[in-house]
Amino acid sequence: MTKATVATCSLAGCFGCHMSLLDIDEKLLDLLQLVEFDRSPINDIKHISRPVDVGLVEGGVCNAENVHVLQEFRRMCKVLVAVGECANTGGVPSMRNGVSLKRCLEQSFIRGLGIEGAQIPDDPELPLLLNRVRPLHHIVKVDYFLPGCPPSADAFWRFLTELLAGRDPALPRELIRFD
Amino acid sequence: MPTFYLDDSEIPFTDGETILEAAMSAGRYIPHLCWRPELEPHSSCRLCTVTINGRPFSSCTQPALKGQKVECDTPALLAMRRAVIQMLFVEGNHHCPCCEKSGACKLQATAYLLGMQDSHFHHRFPVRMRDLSHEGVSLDRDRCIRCEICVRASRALDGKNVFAIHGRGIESNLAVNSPSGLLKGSAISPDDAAVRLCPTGALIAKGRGFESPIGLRAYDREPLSSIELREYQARRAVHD
Amino acid sequence: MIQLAGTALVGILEEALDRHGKSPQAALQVLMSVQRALHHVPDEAVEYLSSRLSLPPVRLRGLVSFYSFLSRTPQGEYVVHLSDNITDQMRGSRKLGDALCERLGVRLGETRSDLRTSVHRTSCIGMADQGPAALVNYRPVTRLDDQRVGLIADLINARVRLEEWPPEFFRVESNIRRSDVIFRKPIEPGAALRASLDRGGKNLEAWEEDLAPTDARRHQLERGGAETLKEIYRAELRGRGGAGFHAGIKWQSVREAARDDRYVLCNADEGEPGAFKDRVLLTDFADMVFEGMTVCGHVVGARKGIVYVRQEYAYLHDHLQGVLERRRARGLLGTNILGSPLDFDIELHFGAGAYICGMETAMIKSIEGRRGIPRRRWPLPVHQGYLKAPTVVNNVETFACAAAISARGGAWFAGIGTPQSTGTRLFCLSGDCERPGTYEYPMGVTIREILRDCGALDAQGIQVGGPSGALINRGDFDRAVCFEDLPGVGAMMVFGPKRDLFDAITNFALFFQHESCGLCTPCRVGTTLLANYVKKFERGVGSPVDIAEVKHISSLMKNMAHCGLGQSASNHLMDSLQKFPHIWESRMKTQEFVPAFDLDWALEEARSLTGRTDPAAHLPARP
Repeated sequence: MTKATVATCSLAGCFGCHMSLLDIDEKLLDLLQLVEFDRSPINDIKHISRPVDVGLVEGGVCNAENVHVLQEFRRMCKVLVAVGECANTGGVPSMRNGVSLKRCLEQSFIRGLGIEGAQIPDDPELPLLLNRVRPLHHIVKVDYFLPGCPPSADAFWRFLTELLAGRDPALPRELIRFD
Repeated sequence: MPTFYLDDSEIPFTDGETILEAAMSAGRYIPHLCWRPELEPHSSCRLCTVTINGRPFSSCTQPALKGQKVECDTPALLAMRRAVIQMLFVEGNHHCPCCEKSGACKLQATAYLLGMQDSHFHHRFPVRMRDLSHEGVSLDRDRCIRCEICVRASRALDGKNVFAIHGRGIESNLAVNSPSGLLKGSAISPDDAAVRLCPTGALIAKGRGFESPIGLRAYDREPLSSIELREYQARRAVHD
Repeated sequence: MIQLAGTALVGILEEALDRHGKSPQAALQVLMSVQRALHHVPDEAVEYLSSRLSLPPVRLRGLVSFYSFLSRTPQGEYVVHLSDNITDQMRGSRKLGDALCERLGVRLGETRSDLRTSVHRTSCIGMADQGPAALVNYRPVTRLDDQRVGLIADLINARVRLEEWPPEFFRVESNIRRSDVIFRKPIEPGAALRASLDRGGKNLEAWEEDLAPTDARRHQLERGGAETLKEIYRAELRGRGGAGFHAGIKWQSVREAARDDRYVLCNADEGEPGAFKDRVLLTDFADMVFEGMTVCGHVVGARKGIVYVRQEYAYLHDHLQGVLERRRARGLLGTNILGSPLDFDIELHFGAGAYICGMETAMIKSIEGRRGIPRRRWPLPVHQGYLKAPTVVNNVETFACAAAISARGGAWFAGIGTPQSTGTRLFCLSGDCERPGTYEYPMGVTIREILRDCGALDAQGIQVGGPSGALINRGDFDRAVCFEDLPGVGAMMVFGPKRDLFDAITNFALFFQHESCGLCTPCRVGTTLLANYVKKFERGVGSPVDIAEVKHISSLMKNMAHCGLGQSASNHLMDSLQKFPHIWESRMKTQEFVPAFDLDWALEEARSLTGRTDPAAHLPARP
């Protein structure tokens, strides 16, 4: 049996969803029987090397780099999954949406406490911020959504096994959580 | 006792009862957010919509009629209820992970009941005024779903008239009856029914946040539907 | 604060209170008077009126924030509301509006710093047959063109009083292009009432000899009402407001209600863009309308009628009051009407800018001095309406028809039109037609016949019944306008062969977003989501995924919205997808999903804050 290929990444997120994926504990070994990981922080591969079956994206979209990564995932993944609250709704990072970017940056880099040489960073190496943090489905078509902050290990396991078995991966109600 | 049919079950009712009330008495839960047994129905959230002969009606206002065949849990209606709750989520700013009402929030619990896994629509990210001026009560308009339970409860149960809705359409918002428009200076008190009955974290009594750990919060232990059914039936037993 | 503002403010407020009364029901009328006098409703006025009207300030502010013509912030001494209906836009209203703003030195939606003037856009003001039009201090100015706009700017800049403006600016034509059996020869004032009273079986002269109402006369009055109700039934009169409910059933329910206080409300809140027949009826046939209401009062046993007129028609106030006065003087209103024991009088009540108030229950709330939010379906207004009393609510045209029926008999009326749609109907033609105006036809007339008469046979499409009605194409031109085929109010906006219909549906989608009252979730959120999708296609970045979404939201609103506004707010989108798919398809760039916003634009703020221009500071439109 050929294994399904899976890529994962975290955009404007906290890697909590990835931690929760690792939380499936010994079932990880079962999962590795089913899938092979392409790009992922788990193996530190930086770019998707070939078209993959499933892309798991954690985090919302807050800057230009996030947009590029998300677009790469959409291009390379047959099935794209928004994982966790930030990917689904923008989550905690999107709480800055009520404040202008100007105020955010000035507070962080100019007016904040203990700042020396106050200046808004302009290094081309830094990804430029979007005016608003967006959930994935504002930018690309998303096929499935796995809610939770983070989704529980059980939710991950259930979702992935159902999806890989070719069934509808809708979660039973007791596994749906937004926090 | 006369009866009507809710999907396949026969539901008894007393004269003047609405479909929702009769269903709740009979142990059949119909999702709702703007309805409270102690308040006049409002029929604004539309979650309790059912169909009769293919025509939609809000069950919180529609009187039960003998022999009527009411459709409630059809796949189409369940999908539409889920979409309505998704609309509520994208309309405001509902950040469950950092809301002290999470786990005890009716909006969230109803979303779970309806199997909502994503917000589907595009989030508006509105910018709304937060009011932390009062020492005992906070108002976070980001979480307000315009159910007007506080408006009605303040008037009918607290005898105070603290709240009103201002504006129109998507820009409508919860207004406070005080010279400054802030909670400070209004007649609100943390013990008011208006605060207690808020289905979301819009109105919160200060100093009590995060009292129960995750796993032990109101709707962690038991789904919203069974809690509300039990409460409604107990209430009826007292009133009958 | 009151002291600071001086006695002038108190004087103005007291005058408004004197004119409209101090009951809570007067609140909206009082606030509108204040708005007109002070060009806004200042907070001090709210505080003062709150105690005089015994309403909490929060409730008065709720009114100010709900109705479009009320404002908390100061407006200019000359407030211009540019009618922004699609028919106005088709005649260049947007450009004219821009020119006006430029000549006045004011930005759209704002007030000039010297408080001289403010310019706003507003929904259709009921002048679609003579647009582009605008309201200047709530008086309509019609047939705007470059020259007129220039003169208006000069007059405002020179602070010339409206009374000294050229009167032809304010000329409103009735433009009745075709009349049929009902309005060709309107009934004589009193004829319908006399017929109704006579049906009681006793001649009027005998009543007039001795005014003391004896039981016998009461009985005769009662019997007359019952007989007239039979005529209404015989006529099969159905409401002209849109829903087409049988007037007889409504009237009978109120007549049989257990309470003694009953009301007759006339809905003249003609807010449907493209409609203006109520304006024509109130201008040229006000007697018939009032007489129909009075006949209704006779039938149902009401003593009071109220006409709810939209603020856009407030310029008709003096004319309507004059007609009412004349009718009182002639014994057609007031106590002992035509010497009978019938007492009935009519009040005028004006709206303050809210389309939703055309909805029966929203209108009732507005007349009660509250926010115009449709209330729950039960109990029906015929059981609990205005002030919880049994209430008939009918449209202006319905009452005019009722007067004709009482005067000429139900059988006569039933003989006109089709079996299920009796009588005639008034149609308002506007847009790309040679002869815009009002046309009366027997029910069942085909679209093609109307188009031929108004000179619009080359039309590619027509919005029938306003934005909430139906958008039809050439394939529908042989359909008949009647309850069994193409129902809806008689507004017809014609789109010629060269028009881009996407402009029209954009206009309608924004209209509904603006007019949704905000009560129920599907309409409050749905109208905004739909408007955003329309804007996305307007930018040319739509996709089939978005079309599926538009259909999804539309079906949700149709099934789940609380009232007719939400249920019908997406009709124009669904119709255009079906009948004019090319206007959507031409705005799709790809078959795949594209963001609704421009990704590179979303970086603009950060670019300007950092001063970066390097390639990484940009995002391509497509990956």
